Amino acid sequence: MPPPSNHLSVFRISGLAEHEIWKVGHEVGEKSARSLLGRADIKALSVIEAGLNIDADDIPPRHADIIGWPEEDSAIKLKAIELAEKAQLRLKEGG
Amino acid sequence: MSVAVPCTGIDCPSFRVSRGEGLDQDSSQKVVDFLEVIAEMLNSETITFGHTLDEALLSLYEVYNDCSQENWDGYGALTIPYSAYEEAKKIIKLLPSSIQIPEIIAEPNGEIGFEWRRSKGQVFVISIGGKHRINYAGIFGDNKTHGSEYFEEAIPSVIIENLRRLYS
Repeated sequence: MPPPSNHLSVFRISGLAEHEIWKVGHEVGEKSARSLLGRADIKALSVIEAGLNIDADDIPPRHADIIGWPEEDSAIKLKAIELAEKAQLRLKEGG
Repeated sequence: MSVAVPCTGIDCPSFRVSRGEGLDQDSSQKVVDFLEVIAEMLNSETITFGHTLDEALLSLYEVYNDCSQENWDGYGALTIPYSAYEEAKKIIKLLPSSIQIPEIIAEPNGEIGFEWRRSKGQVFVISIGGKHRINYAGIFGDNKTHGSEYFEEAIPSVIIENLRRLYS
């Protein structure tokens, strides 16, 4: 589900090695004093096919927001389910 | 693209202790709620398909407790209000015994989510916000549904129908 701002924060990982991807995640977690448990990978095309948009602001580098969520709460929920079905969950090794 | 999945429970303080004696009012209420969950577990003989009702109530309490502070996910998530917790608890107890206990999750808009997932492409989710309204959405293969229903004393029939559809 997107946050109250309706800007779902993501990072573009195309071309990155696995350890680089996890490094990005750890850095995000550190900024909010949270422990990274895993990540969800999804193709940009799947986001577009779900009727949403991607706003790549590169702040920080490779950052983007998934935007264009509908107004209705239940419609937002359906979009979130659609994305979740197309995403691949990757848990951090070692817990 | 990747979305970081933050930890929501370990670092969240459960209780705040005032400088005076004992716990503040908010923390005291949480103690009462927790004890009520334990009491229900000890007295209840209800067993539903999959996880027990008791396990669901405890899981619900843990989600509510872990997400009862602003920005619990680090991305501006709203606090889950007590009214949402009470409403969600009511719905769990009203679920037919033939319906599997859902996975219970916290949502960034301050609502509690119940998720039933039978398999890939077969999922139904409802959200409870403590305002007598249930938002729902589901995917059943190529078919999709979403909507909103008023909730007071009984689970709306459309919710039950979609759950039976999921497990038919």
